[in-house]
Amino acid sequence: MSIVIENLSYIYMKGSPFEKKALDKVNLNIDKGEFVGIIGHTGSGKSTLVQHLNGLLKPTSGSVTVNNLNVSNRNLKELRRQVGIVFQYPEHQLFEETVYKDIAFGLQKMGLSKDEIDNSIYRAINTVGLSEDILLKSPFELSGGQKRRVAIAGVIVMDPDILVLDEPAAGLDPRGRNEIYDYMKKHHFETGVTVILVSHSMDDIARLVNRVIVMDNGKIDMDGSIKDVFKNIDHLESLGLSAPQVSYLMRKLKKIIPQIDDEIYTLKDAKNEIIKFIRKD
Amino acid sequence: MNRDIIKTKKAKYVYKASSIEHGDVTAVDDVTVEFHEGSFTAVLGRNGSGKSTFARLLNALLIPVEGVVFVDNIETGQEDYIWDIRRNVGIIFQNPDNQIVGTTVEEDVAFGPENLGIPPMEIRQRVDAAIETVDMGSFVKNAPHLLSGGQKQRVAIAGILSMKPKCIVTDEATSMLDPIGRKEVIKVLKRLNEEEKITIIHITHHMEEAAIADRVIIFDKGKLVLDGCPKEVFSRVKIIKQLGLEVPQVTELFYDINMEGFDLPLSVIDIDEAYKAIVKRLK
Repeated sequence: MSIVIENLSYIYMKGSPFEKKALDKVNLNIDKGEFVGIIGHTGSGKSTLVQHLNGLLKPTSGSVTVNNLNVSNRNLKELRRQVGIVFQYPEHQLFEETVYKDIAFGLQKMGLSKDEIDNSIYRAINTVGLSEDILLKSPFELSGGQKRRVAIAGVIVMDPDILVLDEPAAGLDPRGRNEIYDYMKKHHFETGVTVILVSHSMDDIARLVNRVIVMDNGKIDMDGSIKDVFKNIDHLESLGLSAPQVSYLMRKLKKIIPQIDDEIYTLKDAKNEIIKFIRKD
Repeated sequence: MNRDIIKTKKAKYVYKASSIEHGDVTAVDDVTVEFHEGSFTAVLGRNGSGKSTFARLLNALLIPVEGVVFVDNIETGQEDYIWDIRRNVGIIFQNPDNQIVGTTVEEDVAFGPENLGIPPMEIRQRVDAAIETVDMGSFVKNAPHLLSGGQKQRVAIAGILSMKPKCIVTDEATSMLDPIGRKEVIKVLKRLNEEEKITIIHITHHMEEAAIADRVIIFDKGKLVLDGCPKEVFSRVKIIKQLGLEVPQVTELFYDINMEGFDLPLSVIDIDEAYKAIVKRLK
């Protein structure tokens, strides 16, 4: 078990008039190498939850253990190396003169040699699909999609065991979004890193992850495979969520074609299922 | 036929190089297009395709280096008319947090008309009406920075409404919002278009938002490359994919099925139409 969360509660501004319970007795285990999606409407506790994974927030009560490191400990250096978090709009955090320096920032703090740093940087920019000629440019002269990838590379370069991505594709155009996800999927496949993806896009979640965690009102509302979760469309809608568009079509078709499989959540599965029932002309 | 509220003729905009090694960047290149009063147009294109620069040409935040832009028959290059132009065409930007000026919702919405020198009594009426229109009536005295993203964007829309514009341009105003916030903003824009006949030009990456527009135009490398009703534009799946964009999921589904030798109509853009088309072809 690489992540063990027991009875985790978190209260913002405890004791003040603005006190707000953001997490309420959450229990959750995530194994090494899983690709997990977290969904839930704004304010459901997703971000609060993931910020506990590298000790940015400390439990008000309960405990969070990551690779046997307790996040409530005072020394977080090792934890922060093992858990990389890519926040929303991570390009806002770029600050160095060159892409190289920006990505190298964390590595230099670890006291690595120049060769080790160079090798890690080449690997990281490859992982996010950038070429080496970008390294000497200023991060501020890049396009939005490129900046986003540089920021992700700055997290990946630390070679974290657990990679948390909070809406990594927000604001990107469709191709930019698909590219980022394709590279993350490949990175997960090749390295076996644990990936936790927070997203509002049900289409992307259905296409990418193996397990979905649904958050609502600070609690885990559902936790299961894509099928287990998305077959409860009505319940998801009551939480302000939805299912991928094709699943609504399949559900509608089921009413006149009783034998059609309507537990379908990706384009590819929908295509293969519908083809069985229609004529070519 | 409705008259054109905005018209561009061979409009071009170039960002001057910051240093010799970078070179000039032509962001909008030879764009001729007109928007009928009361229409709802979605603007699509990749990051960096020129959409945002185009939006800024529409209310004289930028003036074309070549060609012209007319707003309500006034050329945007005429500095004497700049406030008339900006009152007629309001822009909502992407980041809701960057558009807040007031400490309460009503103060924020009043900022525009106050600066136009409108009498206080009328400001009061306009502000109340604008806040009501965007369904924020119960938040009049709230602090805008504590609202949700969708609520902040609706306050920004109310701020524009209080200046009685003829046209609202949204520059990826839904991009930073969650699905609920996006729906709220789209609902308000749709209603303003249908009931108040305000012309809407909606820049977005979300194809389902484009599908509800009357017209879709697509930018690529600064040029306008596709223009038509959503059904026409989205049925050109192959071209749209080549441009790095996508089509509504059901259109893509039909395209994928057709790749296997079927002949489903690609003009389908929503679930109901897709359902009907499949039912017609059942074995």
